[in-house]
Amino acid sequence: MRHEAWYRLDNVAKIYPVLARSRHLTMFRLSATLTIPVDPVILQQALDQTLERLPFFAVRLRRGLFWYYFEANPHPARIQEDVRQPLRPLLPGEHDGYLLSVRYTERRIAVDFFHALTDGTGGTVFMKTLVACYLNLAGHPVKPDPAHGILDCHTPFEPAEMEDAYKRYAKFHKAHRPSLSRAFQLQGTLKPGHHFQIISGTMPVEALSRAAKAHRVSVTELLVGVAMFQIYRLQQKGGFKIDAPVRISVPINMRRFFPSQTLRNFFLYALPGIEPAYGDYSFDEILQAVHHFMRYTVNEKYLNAMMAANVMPENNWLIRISPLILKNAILRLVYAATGEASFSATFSNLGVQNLPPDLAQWIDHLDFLLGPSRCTPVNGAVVSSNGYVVVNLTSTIVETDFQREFFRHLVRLGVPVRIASNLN
Amino acid sequence: MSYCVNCGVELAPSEKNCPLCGVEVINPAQPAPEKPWQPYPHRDDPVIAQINRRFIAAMITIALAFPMAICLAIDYTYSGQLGWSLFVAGALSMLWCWLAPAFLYKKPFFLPVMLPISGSLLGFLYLVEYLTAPAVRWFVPLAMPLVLLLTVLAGAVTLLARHQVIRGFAVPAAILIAAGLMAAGTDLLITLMHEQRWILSWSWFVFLPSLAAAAIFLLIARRQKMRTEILKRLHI
Repeated sequence: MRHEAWYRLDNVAKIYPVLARSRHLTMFRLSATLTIPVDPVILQQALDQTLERLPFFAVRLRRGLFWYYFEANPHPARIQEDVRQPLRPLLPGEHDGYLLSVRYTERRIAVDFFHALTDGTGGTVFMKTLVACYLNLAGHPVKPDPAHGILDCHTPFEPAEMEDAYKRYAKFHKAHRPSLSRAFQLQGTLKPGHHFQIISGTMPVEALSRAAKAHRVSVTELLVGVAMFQIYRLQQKGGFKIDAPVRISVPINMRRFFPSQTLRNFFLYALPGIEPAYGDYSFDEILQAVHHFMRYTVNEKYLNAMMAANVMPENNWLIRISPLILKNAILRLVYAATGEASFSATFSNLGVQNLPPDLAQWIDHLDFLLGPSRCTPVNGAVVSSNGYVVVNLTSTIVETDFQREFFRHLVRLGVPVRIASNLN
Repeated sequence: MSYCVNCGVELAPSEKNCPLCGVEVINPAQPAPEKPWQPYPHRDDPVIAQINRRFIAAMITIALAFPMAICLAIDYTYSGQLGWSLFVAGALSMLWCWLAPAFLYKKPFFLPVMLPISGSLLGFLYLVEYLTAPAVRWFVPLAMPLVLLLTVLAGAVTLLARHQVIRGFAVPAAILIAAGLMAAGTDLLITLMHEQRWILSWSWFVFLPSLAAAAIFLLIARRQKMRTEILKRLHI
């Protein structure tokens, strides 16, 4: 039964197979660092159980005549040892066609996802369920807690978990498609191959909240503001095109506004930004710009109009009946012009992950990483758990100017930062 | 617990230098631990070299089609008909048949690569004969049999070697015999065309030495000891 299943790609997922193996951001990682060593044999069992519970993660990508689709993967999923340079773009046939790979080190369980499969929220549920399942098998009972994203591996999957929520909620009153000019993007010496560097800063939640409160903004807005200010400063300093706008793409979890149980993609972007051509910006001005932009755009009405703009082309019959090869070519062109060209970096905040005590005691911290992207060389991913916020800056360039200025700025704001990296 | 003197950030024990500014971590009060916990292992994924063969084939196609189109266009514009440019077009088409099939298949094997080569060679030679319209027709009596003979001989040696029917020192022996047969065939076809007689003349001087050399190779192939000695001294 399981092997006959197939699924359509959701609205946002449709772009990722086109971009896979290219220079765009298509991969992300969620990982849990445990306080106990990881046993690969038990982890393999836990993965098998988790995929039984969440069968739509055990799929491979196939090409139809008109659209890509997911098909249940007949091969068993295998765990792998972790590497220094994770999140390499998928190669055809790699990992037996699986679109996720579970990797482990001494104390960490990491899941690398292809973005067509799920978004950060869906990925978190998968990762937490996997870790809980692992701990259960390892003799450390963790109670299932769906409210906190920990599913019971012994219950059947629910169809609501794999709905295409975009289709359900996009009301076609009016579409909103902001036309955005090409944004400033950092440049530097590309690291060879698909190598990229990960610099992670860990900081206490209270210190960061205090700093955010002092500026009367949220934590996400503060981090985005600091990133934007530092990109802006590098732009003004570094002989770049100094008039191009600096914009940061902030993924928004749509489940906050449109209740859905879906574990597939259900997010959109907010694109706060500044126009350096209008004059000099101070840090406070940038923070205010980000704050008000987010308040203005991140609401049900505005997001629905944006969602409609995304779903509309998909319902156009002319687009539907054009062959996949043509769609791919057009999507590539459209994305090159309007996709990653319109922002300088991505900053994704998964927010506070409340872990129930029986799980929290075994978890040191969670990590969230965005994969390498050549267009926006530096991207940030934020997640907080157990009282600490972890900001992972991933970069495909050798220069660390942005990362240095970003963390130094946080230190100046009174936030103690602890740095680790994959450079040693 | 060490801090970067430049950046003011605390550094994990795994960091020997500050990842942000590169400054070395020196903490006399707390020497670096012998084996600190590494957030990322030192292992790298093996890099799989992906050569996009079809892309190379597409590049070859563009590189050949472009000059061909230009030549045809120039010829037609200036003389109102297609003359010399047909030679160029024919030659470039033949070149495409020689180069592209090898990149169109994941594992190029004999038939899809060899047949287009000889087919296109035949086509080009016929085109030359057709366009020049010589008094003595040479394509059917000479060019076609020569190309077919060459295809059959080269194909036979390649197939035998690929399927390991012949191996080791027998391979050069087979190549020598094929070369001798090719020389004999060439000789035979030329005399047949000119004198309408089946007779061998100069090719004896190629055929017999090549047979002798092939025999030596075959002898070596049968003698394990001699083979080992030769390989020992001449291995590359």
